[in-house]
Amino acid sequence: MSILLWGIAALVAGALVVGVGVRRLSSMDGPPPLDEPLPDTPLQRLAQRGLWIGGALTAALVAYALYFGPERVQQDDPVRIGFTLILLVILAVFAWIALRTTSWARRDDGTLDERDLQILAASQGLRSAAILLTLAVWLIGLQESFHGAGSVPIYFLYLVFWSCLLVSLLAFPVGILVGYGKS
Amino acid sequence: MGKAEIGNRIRQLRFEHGEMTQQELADRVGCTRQTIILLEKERYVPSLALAMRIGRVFHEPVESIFELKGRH
Repeated sequence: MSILLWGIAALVAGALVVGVGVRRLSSMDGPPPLDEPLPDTPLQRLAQRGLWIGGALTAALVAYALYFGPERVQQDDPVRIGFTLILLVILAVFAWIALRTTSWARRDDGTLDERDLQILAASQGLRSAAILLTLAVWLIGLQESFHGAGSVPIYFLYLVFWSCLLVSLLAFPVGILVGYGKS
Repeated sequence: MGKAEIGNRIRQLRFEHGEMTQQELADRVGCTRQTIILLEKERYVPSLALAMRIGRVFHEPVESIFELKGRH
């Protein structure tokens, strides 16, 4: 299997952990539904927006990397700048979510209450699992592909880092939404 | 020992206090309306601090608003 496919497999594996987590936690362990719909909390709305925007941008980034290939993304300047720009936009989106969450927590005016903070703390578990699985798939993929050569091209280090970061960022809003689904 | 089930009279107290809305109570105790709804449905056990803030709004001691259900 080509190394590019291993890279995609790493991202898919991370996404799978997130997806399975959502399905398991919301359908099996969830309490019975309420007789009235719950109004969304500000944190819930923020997570929904972050997931849609961040997910769409991540899909665009993956499509971009697949179209040009990892070597051109690393070595061809215009292609690399395009890749970096999309990455920066994704980072800006999630930085905005993190800053907004922090400012709500500091304001202590009820926008983010104790239950929201519990859900935020619990969402970290999903992120850790998704990152670990992504790393495991990269490890197996790189080892399988470059075992004979004895060395791994340097640009794969960047791809490993960015894929873990993206999985971690996407797992953040998903973990929050799972938390609300569970309670 | 299993998870404690806590009953409460929040809904009743809201109506006794001028039909206070869930949003109004949420604003006064510093939480979201979703948390108030879940409290009233007994689907969320509040922290001691939140329980005491609710007691302060209704001018009632915490133990007269919340009760431990079952045999313990």
